[in-house]
Amino acid sequence: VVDLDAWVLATAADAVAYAASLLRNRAAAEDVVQDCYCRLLARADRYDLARDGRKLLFAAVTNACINVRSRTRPVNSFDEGENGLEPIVTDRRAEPPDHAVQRRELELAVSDALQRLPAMQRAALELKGLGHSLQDIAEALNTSAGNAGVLIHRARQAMAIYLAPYLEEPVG
Amino acid sequence: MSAAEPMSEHPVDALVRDHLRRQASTVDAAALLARVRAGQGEPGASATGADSLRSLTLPARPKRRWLRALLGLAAAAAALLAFVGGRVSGPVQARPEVILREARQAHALPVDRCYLVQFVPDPNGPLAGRPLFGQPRQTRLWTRGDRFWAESMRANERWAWGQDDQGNIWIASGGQDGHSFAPGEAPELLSLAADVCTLRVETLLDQVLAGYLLEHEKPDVGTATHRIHVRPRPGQTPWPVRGAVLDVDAETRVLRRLVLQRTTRDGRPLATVTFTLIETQTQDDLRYQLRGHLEDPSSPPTPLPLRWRILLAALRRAP
Repeated sequence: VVDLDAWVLATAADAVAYAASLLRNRAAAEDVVQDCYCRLLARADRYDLARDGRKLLFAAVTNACINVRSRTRPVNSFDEGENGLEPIVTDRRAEPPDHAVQRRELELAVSDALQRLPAMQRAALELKGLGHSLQDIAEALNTSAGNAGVLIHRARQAMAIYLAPYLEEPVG
Repeated sequence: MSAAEPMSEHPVDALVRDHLRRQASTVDAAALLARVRAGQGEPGASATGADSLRSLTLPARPKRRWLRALLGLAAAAAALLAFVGGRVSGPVQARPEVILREARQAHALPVDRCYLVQFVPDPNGPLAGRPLFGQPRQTRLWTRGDRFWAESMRANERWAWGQDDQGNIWIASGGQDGHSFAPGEAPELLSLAADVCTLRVETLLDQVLAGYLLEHEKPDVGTATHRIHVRPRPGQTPWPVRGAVLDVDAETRVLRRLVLQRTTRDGRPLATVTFTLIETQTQDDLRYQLRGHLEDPSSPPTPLPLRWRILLAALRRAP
C-alpha cells in the first residue's frame, strides 16, 4: 500500500527543481510536474509506484521538459526570477557577507554552466546528481546505459571547464 | 535507483547536486500536491476523480472480464508509450496557466496590434443609456502593451481617445481640441470606459491568473488556437469579469479573440466586450499620444474649462 499524498510530497521538490533547471522557468516547471503527476496517478493501478514511481516520474518530467523546450522559441528575459532561480530562503545570520557573495556567485555559475550544456547532457548530469543509477538515467533518456555514461562524462568535462575558477583542482 | 556515494562523488556532481537541492528547498510540495489533487478532478485528467490521493491504495487490480483485461493491456501499453516515451506521442498538453503566462509575455513586447471591439452594454448596468458608451457600438482599437488608442469609425464623427505610455488618458475632438488627463484625474465615466472598452492585456491577464478558475478547452485537430474559459472562483466577487473566453494563438501566444463579460467592482454586470485581432502593424509612437491626433501638435494645451466642453461634446455624440 502506497500513501500517494506522502509519495507526492516526498518527490515533488526534487522533481520541480529538476524541471526548473531544465526549463529555466519555475512556473512552467511546476505545470509540467503537476501534469506528470496527474498522468502517472491516473494510471496508478498499473504501476508499482512504491518501487518504480520515482524513476517513472523523472522519466516523464525529462521527456515533458524536452518537449516543452523543443516547441518553445528561446527568449531572453530581463526579469529576475523568471529564470528558475527563485530567492532562496535560508538563515544567513551567521554567514559573513563575503561568503554569501561567493556562494551566490557559485550558484549562478553552476546554473549558468548547466544552461550551456546540451539538453540531453544536462538531463543526464542532473539525474546523476539526484542519485539516479546509470540504468535509470538511460531509461529516462531512452538510450543505452553506455550512452548515458558518455553523456554524463561529456557533461562533467564541459562543466569542469566552465567552472574551473571555482574548482580547487583540475578535474579529469 | 541507487543512493549517491559522497566519498566517491565527482566534484561536478556535487556542485550539481547542491544546486538542485537549493532549488528543491524553495519548492512548496504541499501546494503542488493541492494542484495535483485539483488536476485529478479535471475532466479527463484522471479516471479516479478522488478527493484525496489517500483513497488510492496499491496495488489495486480491479476485476475485469477478459475483454476488458485485453483492452486494459492495450491501454497500458499505449499509456506506457505515452508516458515514458513522450517524445513519440507528442508534446504534453499545455496548461491554461502556462498558456496565459506566455500570452502575457507575448503582449509585453512592443508590438502594435489592432482589435475590432464590439461593445454591448448590459441593459441593467450603470452604462446603459449613458452617452457614448450606453449603446452597442464597434470601434477599432490599437494596443501596444497597456497603451491604446481608438478613433471613431463613423464618417460624420471625428474623435479619438487613448492612453499614452505615462498612463495619461487623452481625448481629441475634430483634430482641433483635445485634453490629456493625468493618471487618476480623468472623469469617472472616461476612466470606466477606459477600463471596459479597451484592452490592457498585461493588466487583464495578471488579474485572471491571480484569481480565476481556468479551463482549457481541448482544441480540435487542426485548430490554430487554444481556447481558455475563465470563471470566478466560488465565493469570489467577479471583478473585472464574471466570465471570459480567450482564444490564444497556438504558435505565437497572441490573443486572437476575447469575449469579456465585464463587471463593476461590486460584481454587477456592465457589458459584454468582444475583441477580435484584425491587424498587426507598426504604429508611430505619436499615435498613442494626444498630439498625434491634433492637426497642430504645437498648439498649447487647452485651458481647464475647455476640456470639460470637449469631453461633454464627445460624450454627447451618442450613436
